[in-house]
Amino acid sequence: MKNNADDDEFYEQQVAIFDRLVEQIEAQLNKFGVDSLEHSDYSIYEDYWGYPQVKVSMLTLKMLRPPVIEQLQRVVKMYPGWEIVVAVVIDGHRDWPEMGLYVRSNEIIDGLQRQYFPEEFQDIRYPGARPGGQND
Amino acid sequence: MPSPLPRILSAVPQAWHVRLEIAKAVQTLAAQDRNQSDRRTELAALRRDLDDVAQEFANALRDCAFSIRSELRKYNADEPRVPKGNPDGGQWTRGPQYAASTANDWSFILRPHGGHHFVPRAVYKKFPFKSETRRVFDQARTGSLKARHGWSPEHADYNRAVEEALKQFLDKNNIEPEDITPDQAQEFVFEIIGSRDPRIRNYNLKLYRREIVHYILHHIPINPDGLEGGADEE
Repeated sequence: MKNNADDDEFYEQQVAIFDRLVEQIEAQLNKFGVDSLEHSDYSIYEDYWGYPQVKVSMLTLKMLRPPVIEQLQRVVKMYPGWEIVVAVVIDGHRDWPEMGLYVRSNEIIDGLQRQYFPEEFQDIRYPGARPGGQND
Repeated sequence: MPSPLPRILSAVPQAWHVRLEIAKAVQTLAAQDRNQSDRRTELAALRRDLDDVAQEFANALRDCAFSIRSELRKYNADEPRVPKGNPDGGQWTRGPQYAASTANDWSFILRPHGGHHFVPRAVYKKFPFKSETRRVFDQARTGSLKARHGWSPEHADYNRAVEEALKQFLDKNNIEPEDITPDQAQEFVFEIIGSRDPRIRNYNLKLYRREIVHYILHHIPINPDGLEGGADEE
């Protein structure tokens, strides 16, 4: 029978995984962009909310390029059951609808609405991705 | 040329009992519409009430900090007093310790883990703060939350707004980041909790509102025909 101590222990384990995952995501994103006081290409939301997820906001479109997402998937593959929620939050385009990706160990849920993107980003494709929405 | 009017008129049933049935149907539909409209009004009112409760909660949290600090100032047992037998016996001497007594007054908002950081890690780690200052930001949290993230821009907006507010706080108080004290960090946390910047305020209110609804749904019995529980989505 589960008790509060079990719940606390499970919670602590999840928080520990979350922290490790955040660290590894940061290390990967840092290879492709910056998050500094002067300029940010991405922003990681570093709070664990009880679900096996880490949320990343991409603030520039270059962070949606396949090699970046591929690295994120490589990271999350080490943590089965976890996912990286990628939200698209581009400066100057706040009129765009909410869109993004769910990057999981076995799949990528693609909710990008490429019709809003400049031409050079409209042909972005992720191997093994399937279209989906926020509830997938 | 024949007028189209009689043809249109002929489409309206002439029999009174049919007209009566149509009138009844129209009335029934209108009543349903009124019910839905009443329900929407009721839900809007509930939502407004919850917004008010959440705002009051945020205000109470902020005001409470000042009240507690004030009470602790009054009743700080460690503060030196005039010895018994003196005309002013028992009164505080208001020595230098008086100012120091405010340290950790706001510790009730500090939590070792869980939930949403009022000052996000992604923000404060960009500044060269001292470790004791970082600790305040690290532990100033809502406490555990249960919600699934979607693709909303709110987190990024919140982080950016807090970062701007932090830069302004440092400028306004003429402090270098490496010099900010834990007390000043706590002061800033409470600025954030009581912030009127919509990017910060709306997000924090949303969290409070969700937690209040979560509490109501899980701790207060409700008529099943009343409020329906929603999924915990951001």
